[in-house]
Amino acid sequence: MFKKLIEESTGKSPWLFHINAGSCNGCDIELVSVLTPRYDAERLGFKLAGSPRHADIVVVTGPITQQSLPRVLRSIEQVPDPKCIVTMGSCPQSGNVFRGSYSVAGPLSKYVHVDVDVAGCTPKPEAVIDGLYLATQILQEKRKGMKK
Amino acid sequence: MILDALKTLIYVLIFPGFLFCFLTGLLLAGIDRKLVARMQKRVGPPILQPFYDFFKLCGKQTIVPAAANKTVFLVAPLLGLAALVVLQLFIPVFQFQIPAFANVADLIVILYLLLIPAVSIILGGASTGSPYAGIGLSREMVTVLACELPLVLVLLSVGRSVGVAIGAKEGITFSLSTIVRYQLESGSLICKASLIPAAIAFLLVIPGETGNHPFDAAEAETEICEGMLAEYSGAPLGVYKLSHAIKMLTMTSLFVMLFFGGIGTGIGNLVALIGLTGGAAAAVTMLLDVLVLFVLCVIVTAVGISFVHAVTARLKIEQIFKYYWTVVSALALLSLVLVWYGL
Amino acid sequence: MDFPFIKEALSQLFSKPSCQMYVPDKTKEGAPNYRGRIVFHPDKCINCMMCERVCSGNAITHVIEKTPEGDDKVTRTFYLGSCTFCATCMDFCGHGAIEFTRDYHMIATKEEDLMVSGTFIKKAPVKKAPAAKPAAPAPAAAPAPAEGGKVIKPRDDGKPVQVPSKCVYCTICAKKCPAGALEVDRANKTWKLDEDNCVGCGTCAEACPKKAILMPGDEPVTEAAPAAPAAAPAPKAEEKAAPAGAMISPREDGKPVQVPSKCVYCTICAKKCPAGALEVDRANKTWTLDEDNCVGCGTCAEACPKKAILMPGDEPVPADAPAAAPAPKAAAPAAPAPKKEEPAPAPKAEEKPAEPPKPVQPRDDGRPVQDPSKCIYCTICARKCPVGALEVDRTAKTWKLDEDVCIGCGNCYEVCPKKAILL
Repeated sequence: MFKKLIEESTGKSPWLFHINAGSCNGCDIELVSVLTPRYDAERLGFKLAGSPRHADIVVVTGPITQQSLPRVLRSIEQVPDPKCIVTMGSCPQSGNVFRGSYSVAGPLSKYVHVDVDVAGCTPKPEAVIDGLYLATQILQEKRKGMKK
Repeated sequence: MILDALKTLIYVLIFPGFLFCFLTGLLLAGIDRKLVARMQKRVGPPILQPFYDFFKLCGKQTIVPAAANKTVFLVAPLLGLAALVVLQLFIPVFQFQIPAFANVADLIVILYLLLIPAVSIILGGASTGSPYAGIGLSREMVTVLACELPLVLVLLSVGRSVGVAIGAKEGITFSLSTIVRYQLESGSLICKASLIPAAIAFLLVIPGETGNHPFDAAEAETEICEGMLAEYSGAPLGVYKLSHAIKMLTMTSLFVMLFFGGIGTGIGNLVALIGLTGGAAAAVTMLLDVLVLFVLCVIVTAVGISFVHAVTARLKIEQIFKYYWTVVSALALLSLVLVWYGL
Repeated sequence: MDFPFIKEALSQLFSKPSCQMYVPDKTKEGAPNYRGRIVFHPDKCINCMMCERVCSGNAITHVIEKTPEGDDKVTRTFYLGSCTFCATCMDFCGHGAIEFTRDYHMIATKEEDLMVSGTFIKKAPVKKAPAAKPAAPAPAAAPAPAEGGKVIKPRDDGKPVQVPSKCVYCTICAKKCPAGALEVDRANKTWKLDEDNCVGCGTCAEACPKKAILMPGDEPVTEAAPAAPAAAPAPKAEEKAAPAGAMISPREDGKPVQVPSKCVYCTICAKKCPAGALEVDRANKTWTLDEDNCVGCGTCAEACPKKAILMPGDEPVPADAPAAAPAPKAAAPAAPAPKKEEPAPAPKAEEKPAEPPKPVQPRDDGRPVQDPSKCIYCTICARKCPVGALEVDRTAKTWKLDEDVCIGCGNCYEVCPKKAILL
């Protein structure tokens, strides 16, 4: 019974941790706008967590600069399982207009497994909710796979 | 003997103890979140959200930092939870009081026990060795210190008021059950003009004691990564969240018992009026009492925690200290002086 | 402490929440003009690569495969994960092959889900497969027969054809070609088309200032005189003849000719020359044309404020016509004589006679002269001088012209309210 309760709850209480890896701030603002009264992602249980240790979903924005790369990877390591990594905007997926810069360490998928990509520059808040919702479902699947 | 032991076990684990605290505490936290959301013109999370959060955290991996003292790190949350459950045992539900605790000088014990959750969270935070926790625990200590003075003053004025009225030998009583019983006979204390400043002061102490907005400088998630909880994950974090919810229940039910104790009076007569007698009557009375307590707790939460959360921004730690030791303490002191001169 | 939100918190507790109850599964469209998922229409694409060149995020790529028939199978891919949705590609696509929809649901668990691609077959130059082989050498030979031939027709495979008689080898077409398929050598006067790279977009024809490139649908052009190169030496001879003869006539090879009598050596033509083929020295009054670099665009003639440059089609100008004006004034008989390529000594000779005579005479170097009897020293001329060559002091009643700075534009003459300036 507890196992089922936990599995149910995992999908209903996803806490977000937001990493800005050199973002232009556009995606950061849109992520926060998802939590505003207009879209109110807290309806679905989303909450911004202050520490990676509390998070379920890591939202990465920005093109992963050389300076931020070790910090991003370390922050992602700190997140307890089951976790889900979501890239928001075009930058972490490919580098976007910053691609090829000496200071950009390239797409995030080179270093860690990315679960969900939310494309757009920046994505619409609805699209962000879509992506996070998909991430919670993946989270639930991961939780089910954990105890087997 | 065995029956007594069983009874105690039921007390501790089920009714005023763990299970009751768990359910009502988390429900209260859910209602709080919903109310805050509604005041911010949002739909807000479902009322059962804290339950989801708790069970989800139970299913997460628990990471113990390499620099942490593992024993303290894992035991501290349980210590805090245990202290809160014990604390809840001391608070009567109108007429109902665990017999063993009835005549203990319980206000002082409550004062002590209220410190233990704060101490446990400080212990746990300090054991991680995280600098965020370091900042958080120093702030938590200041907050606890700041709240303690007005709280003591409020309890003193209530104790003095009842003590004088019932003609206690020392002129003051520290028995919560005596206070509740007195209110059952002669009306709620909130109706007494001299105690209204004390009631307001206690209402203002509640968010500080539970670490709620705007007095959550110790757990500011946006600036110091939730302070002492920064390194916690999984089940221990869930236990801390649960403790926080139960603390809300404890503080609000303490408020209800201190100032609204008389409201439960009529219920026994009401049940008798329907025609129930004996065990059934006692059971229904008890159920109604619990219901009334919960409703009153929700009202106190709505006014004392949610509303304050919705209309204020987080205070700096020195502002919290100043606020409690000037405004709130002054209110409590005013009440104490009035009561002392027999008003 | 101040609590400004008490009223709002209480009123909102009992009012309807302002949430947009967005359900993630539902498909909804973005606002009008929202730029969401890209749709590519391969049937409209001509593979001009313009979109790839303008894309700031390098989101557009292509793969070309050869089909058994010798055609190109082009697969163009848009990676939405690298797209900034700036729509520049859509703006640059002349054929409407790229479209932005209002669909913002670009959520993917795999990179492939964010790829939008389309495949089309780009036919080899000539439609029939067997004809494709002879087609390749044919266009390469096209310029060759043109020299001797009469009529130059546009090709029917969509690629450009040069009209040698009109071409000035300015290299603009090569610079504009998005595919880099043109190679133009100005010195050797060659125009070469890389058949494999040419995408037939027509950018070269649009860019040509001389309309020397024919695209399908253009009128065939009849070559006039056999070959432009032949015309090249002719004007050279003519140029030399010019100083000897009475008339300066425009050259026939499209290059500019200076009319020394009109030229004020203001250097504007040299500055405007896109090819940097002109060298004008104001101090020594020389005007030199670099024959190799000149593309015959005519920019110098347009820019000349004195109309001192002749282009083909202009009326011939008498070499000493303007010299006739200063002739009576200049006491020195030598003055009009050295109106050849080097007028340097001329002004020196004129400066001396310009000062002594009482009735003020206009100078013949195009620069202004003050008439002290009329001048009221209002300083308007000095203020209007574009180069600041005039210095007028109202109190001291002085009027000074800086000869080296003045470009002889005549602005001062026009603004003078007392007509006290002579040109």
